[in-house]
Amino acid sequence: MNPADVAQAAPVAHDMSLFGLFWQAHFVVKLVMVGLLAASVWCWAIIVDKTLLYSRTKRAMDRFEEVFWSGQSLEELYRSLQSRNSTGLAAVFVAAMREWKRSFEGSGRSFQSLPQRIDKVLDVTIQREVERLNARLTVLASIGSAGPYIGLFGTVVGIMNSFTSIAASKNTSLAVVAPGIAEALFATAIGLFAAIPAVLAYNKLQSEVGKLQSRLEGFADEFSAILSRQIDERIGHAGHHPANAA
Amino acid sequence: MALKLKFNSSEPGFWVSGVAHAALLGAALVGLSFTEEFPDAEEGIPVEIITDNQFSQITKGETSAKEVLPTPKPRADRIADKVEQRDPGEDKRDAPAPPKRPEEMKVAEKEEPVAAQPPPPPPPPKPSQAEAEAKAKAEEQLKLAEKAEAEAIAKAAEAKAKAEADAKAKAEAEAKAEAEARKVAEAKAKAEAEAKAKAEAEAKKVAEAKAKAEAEAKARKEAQAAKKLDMGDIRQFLDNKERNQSTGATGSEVQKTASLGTATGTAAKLNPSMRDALGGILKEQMERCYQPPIGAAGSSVALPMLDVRFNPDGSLANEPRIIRSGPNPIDRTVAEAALRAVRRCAPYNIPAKFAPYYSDWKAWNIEFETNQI
Repeated sequence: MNPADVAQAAPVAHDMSLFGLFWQAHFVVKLVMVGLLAASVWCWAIIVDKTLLYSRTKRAMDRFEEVFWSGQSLEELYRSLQSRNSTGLAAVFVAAMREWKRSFEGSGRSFQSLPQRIDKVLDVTIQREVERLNARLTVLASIGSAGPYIGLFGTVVGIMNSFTSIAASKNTSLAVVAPGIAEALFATAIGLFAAIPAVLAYNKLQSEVGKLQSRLEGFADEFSAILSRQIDERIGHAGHHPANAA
Repeated sequence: MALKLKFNSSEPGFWVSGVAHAALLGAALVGLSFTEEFPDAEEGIPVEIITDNQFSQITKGETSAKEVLPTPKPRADRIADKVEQRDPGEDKRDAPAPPKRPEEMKVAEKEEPVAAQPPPPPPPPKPSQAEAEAKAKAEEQLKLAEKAEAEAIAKAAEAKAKAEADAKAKAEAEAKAEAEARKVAEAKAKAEAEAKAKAEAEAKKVAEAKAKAEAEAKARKEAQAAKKLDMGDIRQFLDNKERNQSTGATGSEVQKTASLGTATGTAAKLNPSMRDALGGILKEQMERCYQPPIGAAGSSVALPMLDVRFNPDGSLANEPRIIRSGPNPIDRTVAEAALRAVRRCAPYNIPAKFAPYYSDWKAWNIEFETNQI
């Protein structure tokens, strides 16, 4: 077969448009492409959600700190936040206050290990909050690290497939080899298309989670310091109500 | 999977991402559906690597032939009508002169006004003769008239001097003579004028006839040129559906099987080492005859380059020439001395092993090295 004829016949046999590339690909390659495209959609969904969530959380923290340091009675603040499903700093505050309250309710006052218990509660709440912020970030990490490999797998399968057809047609002209390889490389392209934003977003979001976590911990430390001071005062002259402290 | 398929304003990620991807895919389908083709690449040229020696031993023939024949020749289907052999000193290729329009050919833009052309001035030989004759005649007659007059005057004077008595008669006679003389002169002048007119008319006739003949000849020539142009008419070229083709290879003799070689190979080429050897042999022989000019020793001299042409027996084919010499007078004298040396040593002893390569060393450029000579 004359290579010139092959070159002429090639555009007819191989539609090099984006859809053509997908449609002529091997079944496995198609599957890889579809999977990677879905992964890209998912990963961008997570990126959008997380970005919104973090900015919301940050704003909520700003607002809470403003209220908290405004000199408002902690009891009042607790009552206003208690009923709501609060997050962030508010959740930490509510958890600690609940523990505090429980210690003073009923007959048996248990001051002995109250600071330790409050610390525990604070730790657990912070952990829960961070977990909530971190949720689904691992998906980004997975897509970021595995995407290129999945794409590469598609490419390897595609190239294997095209080499098999080259062997079958006994023609090594570039016009015969090129379309198959282009199809195969398309899989890697989609893999990288999904993975690159995932990696970048993962790093950015991770650092933001770190910032929020340190802010939560800082607040928890401050709040537990306030509470333990209160406890010490209560032990000194028992009978006072903690709500009057702040 | 924690994705909710219902739209949630606090977590719109899935929808935002899905719509964005769909838009991007649509744009890519539209924008990247046509890939630009590469410009047509030329096929690679197969290259064979050969050594210097092999290159200098390429024989005349064809690359597709099987073997080197004992007498390497390219294939020739028939004997060439015209055999042309040129010396190596000729130019590498012929640049034919651009075709010229035949002088008589009609030019489309500028119609030559053949008929309107004024007839050429009457050819001088005949008319001039007639005129000269007429003139001479007239002059003669004038002279005669003058003479007659003078005679008459003289006669009158004589008569006057002789006798004044017959003055009247004599005066009458004088008048008569005068009148006669005038009459004669007038008649003669008339005849002269007539002759002149006749001659002129004749001359005119001849000239006209000549002009007519010339114009006719010109028209005929033009017609011929036009016919000739018709032969190679452009339309004929355009109508010609036949492919252009050769009538076959030609040579000085018919050769059915080509020798292995190339079309340009000449085989009898000195290889570099042989060239050096021959150069050394020639130089060594020339050095013997070289007398360095006074003043050349010690000073740095630009090397002269000589063009020497040999005969197969080693004698000079023609006078050696200086191709290149330095600008100084000393350089020139050195070049002259080198030239003399070449001439003096003339029949050179060239070993027989170089004989097959005569066409290569036929014209030899020799650079004299002054530190050697």
